[in-house]
Amino acid sequence: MVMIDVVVSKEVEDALAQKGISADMCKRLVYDAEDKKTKFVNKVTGENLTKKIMDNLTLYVIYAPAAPGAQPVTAYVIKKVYSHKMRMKNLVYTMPEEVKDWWCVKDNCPTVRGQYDLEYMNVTRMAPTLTCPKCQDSYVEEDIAAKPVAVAEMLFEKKRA
Amino acid sequence: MSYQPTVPLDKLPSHFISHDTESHKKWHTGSVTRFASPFVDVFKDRIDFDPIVMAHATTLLGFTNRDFYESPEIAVHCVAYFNELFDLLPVAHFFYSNVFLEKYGVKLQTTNTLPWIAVGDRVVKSPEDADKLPKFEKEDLKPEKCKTTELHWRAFDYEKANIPDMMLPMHNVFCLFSMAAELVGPEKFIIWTRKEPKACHKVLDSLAYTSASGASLTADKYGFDMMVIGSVLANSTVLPPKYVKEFSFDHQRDFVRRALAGGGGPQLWYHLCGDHSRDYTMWKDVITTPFTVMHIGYYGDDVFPSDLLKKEFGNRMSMLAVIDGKRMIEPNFAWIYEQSKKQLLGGRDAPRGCILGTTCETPLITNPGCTLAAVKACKDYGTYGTW
Ligand SMILES: [Zn+2]
Ligand SMILES: [Zn+2]
Repeated sequence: MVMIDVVVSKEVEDALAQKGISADMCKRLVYDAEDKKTKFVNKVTGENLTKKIMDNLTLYVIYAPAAPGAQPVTAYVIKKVYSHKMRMKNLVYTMPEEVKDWWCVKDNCPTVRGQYDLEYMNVTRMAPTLTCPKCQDSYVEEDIAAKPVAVAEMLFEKKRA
Repeated sequence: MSYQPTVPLDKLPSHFISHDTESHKKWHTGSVTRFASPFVDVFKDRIDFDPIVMAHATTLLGFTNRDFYESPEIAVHCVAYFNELFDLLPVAHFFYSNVFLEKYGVKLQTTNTLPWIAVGDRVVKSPEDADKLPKFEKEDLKPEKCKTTELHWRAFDYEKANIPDMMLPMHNVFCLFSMAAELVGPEKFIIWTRKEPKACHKVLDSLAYTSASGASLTADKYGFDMMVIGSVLANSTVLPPKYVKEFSFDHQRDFVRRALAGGGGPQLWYHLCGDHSRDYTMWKDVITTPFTVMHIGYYGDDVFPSDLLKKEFGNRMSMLAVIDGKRMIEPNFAWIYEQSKKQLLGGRDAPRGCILGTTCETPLITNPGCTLAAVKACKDYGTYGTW
C-alpha cells in the first residue's frame, strides 16, 4: 500500500487551531474520505470536499492532488477548511434541476441543490446545501457557512443569551 | 418638471428628534427584540406590523411623493419616524421598483403621485435587441455610473451618519419579469413568452445577472444586504403556472444563487404580489437561508389566507400574513381590525414566526387610522402561539 502524503500549510493549521482541531486529525479525515469514498469531487476544478460532524461543529475540508493530473496521486494539499456550529438535522427538499459541478464519489453522480434543516440553540432553520440525490449526503458550501449560517449562529447566541 | 426637496438636505437632520433621546432608545430596544422574534424563536411582546411603507411616510409627515423617490435622505428619515410613530419596525428601509433600468437606456421619471416609472420608447424592440442586451458587472454599477446605486447608497449613508440604530442596507431585485416587460412593453413581452421564449430568457438572464452584481456591490460596501425578490407581474392572473415557473421562478433562483455567492443577503424576502392562487406551491422550493420570509398577496380576489400560508410554508421559513392594502385608504378601521385579527389568528402559531403586513406597499394615501387599527389587532391578537 502506498502511503499518501497530506500537506497542511501553516495557514490551514492556524485556521484549524482556531477551531481546536489538530492537523493530524484533519489529515485522518482526508485518509478516511479517500478510503471510504465519503467525499464530493468537483469535476471542473478537481478539488475534493469532505466533512466530519463533531460534537460542537461540522468541519469541511477542501483538498486537491498536489500534482494535478499525475496518477497515481501520491500527495494531497489541503486548500481550505471551514465549519459551522449549526447541527445538520434533516434534508427537507432538493431541486433536481439545479445540478452542480460537485459529484458524489460513492454514487458516481452529480449533486443537486438541497435545502437542509440545521439546528442550533433549539432553533431550527433551513440553509442551502450540495446534496447527492442518491445517498442524500449533504454539504454546506463555504459561502453559505461563512455568511447566512454564521450570521444565524451569531444572532441565536445573542438573542438567546 | 424640476424638483427641489421640501427641506434642504443639509438641514434635514435638524427637523427630526435625535435618536439619542431616552424615549427613542427605550422604544428602539423593545422594537428590536420584537423584530428579531420570528427569526430566533424568542417570542416576546407581540407580532410586528409591517405596512411596507414607502412614499406614504413622506406624504403623511408633510413632505412629498417626489421627496421619497428623489431624496432618499428624506425617505429614510421619514420611514424611521413613521415606524416609531406607529410602533412598527426598528429599521428604516429604502427601495423602489424598476431598479437598474436606466443602465439599459430606459428613461425613468417620478411625478407628484407616482414612483419611478418608465417613459418613452421601449428599449428592446426585437428578439435581436434582446440578444444584444449587456450584463452589468459590479464595476458598471458603482454610484458614479448608476443612478439606482447612487440613490440607495445615499439612503444607507444618511442612515449611517444620522440614524445608525435604524440602518438597513437593502437590495431590491423587484420583479425580473416586470422589468423585462418594461424593456419590451408588457403586452408584447407576455406574447413573447409563447412566441419568442428564447428572447424572453435573454432579457431575464441579463436582468438577473445585473441584479446579482448590484446585490454583491452593496454587500461589499455595507457588509450585508437584505434582498427583496418579487414576482409581481408574473402572477396567476397573467400567466399559467408553467410560465410563472419558467419566466419568473427559475430566473429568481438564478439570481439568489449568484447573489448569495457574491456576498448578498443573508436575509431573503420573497414578495409574491397579486394573485398566486394557481402557482403558490412552486414557491415552497425557493432557495432559503435561515432568514427567509414568504409574503404572498392574494389568493384570487381575496388576501392569501394566513392558515394556508402557514400550512404550506410555515415549516420552511418565516411568513408574512397580509391584510388588503387596497382597503388601507378607507375610513373603515373596524374592517382593517377584523381582517388583521383573522389573519393573525390563522398565522400566529407558525413554527418559524409570523409578521403581519399589507398585500403590497401601503398606498400613498393610506389612512393613518387603518395603520393604527392593524397595530391594535397585533396587540390584541398577535401573541405567538398559545402563550
Ligand atoms: Zn451519494
Ligand atoms: Zn407588491
